[in-house]
Amino acid sequence: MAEPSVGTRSPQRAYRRLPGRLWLTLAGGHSLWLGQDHLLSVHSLPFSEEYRRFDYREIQALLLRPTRRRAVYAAVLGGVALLLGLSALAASGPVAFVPAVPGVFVLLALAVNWLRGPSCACQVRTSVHTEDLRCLRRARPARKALALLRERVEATQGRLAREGLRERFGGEAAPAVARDLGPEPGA
Amino acid sequence: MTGGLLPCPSCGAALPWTAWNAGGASACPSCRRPVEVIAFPALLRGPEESRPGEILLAADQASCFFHPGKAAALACEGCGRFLCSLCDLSLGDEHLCAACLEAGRGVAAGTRPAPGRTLWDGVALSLAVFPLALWFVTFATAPAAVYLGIRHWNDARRSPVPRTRLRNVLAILIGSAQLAGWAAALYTWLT
Repeated sequence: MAEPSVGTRSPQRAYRRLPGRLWLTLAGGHSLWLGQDHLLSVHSLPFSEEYRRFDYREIQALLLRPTRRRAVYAAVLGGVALLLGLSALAASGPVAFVPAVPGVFVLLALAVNWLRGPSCACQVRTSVHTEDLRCLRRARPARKALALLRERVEATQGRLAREGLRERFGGEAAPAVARDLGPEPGA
Repeated sequence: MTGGLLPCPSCGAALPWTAWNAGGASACPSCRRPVEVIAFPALLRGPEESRPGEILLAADQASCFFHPGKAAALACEGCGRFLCSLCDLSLGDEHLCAACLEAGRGVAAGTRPAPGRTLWDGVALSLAVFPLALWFVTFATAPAAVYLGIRHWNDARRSPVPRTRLRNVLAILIGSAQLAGWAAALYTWLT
């Protein structure tokens, strides 16, 4: 699982970035990259990068579940926007611009939060541990990323067909259908 | 039974096989929270057979450095210490002990993927910019910024994450400007 050496093929061209990137400013950022035989998770800090690699042969499952993050952000931003709006209304003259200007930015943030779609959490599971994919926090880019990753893993391991599962485990009760996480990409 | 193979990420209860690759989210039978599962054949593969190491039977038999009661199976290619099969960490054709693997020793150390990397271009740029708040410190930090910017000129291309040399360039330019300023100040003071 060695990285391509410099001079033969640039390491940067050996990886393809997956959709989704999380930036936490001073705390660093997270990104995911598809390699030839492994998934690379990069945690970028101000002066260093940390890498975690997941061999496609070892990935057992990918899990995606909805979270309430979007609703929480909307509630907080909405509350702040409301306060600033009320302050702007209560103020008179040029003083009203003091709360109004940040209020506009808060409203923009609220709109962006809503337009980005449902929030989610993703995990990749191997035989020894389960890792949170921190850069996949919105359902739309997460689905795209997982679809690309699924292609690579299935190209390595093959598909796990449901017919085979039925033959092996058949008889267990089917779970209830849950509410959808959001529209499929391209829908 | 699929119990224990794939736990729910919310509550830890086992997810039934009918939730795997279902094409959409399914409700966990325990917490009822939706979860979408994409499962692969590796999930059904059993754990690898462990090798506990052979017990030492004869007093004159070579023993493991870390387990004196177990027979040595081979020598570490990083340090030469004898290892039992439990201590042997094989990476392809190479066999190392845990200490050598952690220290990055061994024949193939140069090609082994690194767990991380220091971003010296970021360090150089920070040394060039942040000390401007205390300008007199730049007498020491400016040469360091220029040195690091030049010394690690090619580091950006070795990162798997695309990275340009912009930080190196800025560090060298800003550091050089600071050095030029100090040179001018010293010249003025001396003449």
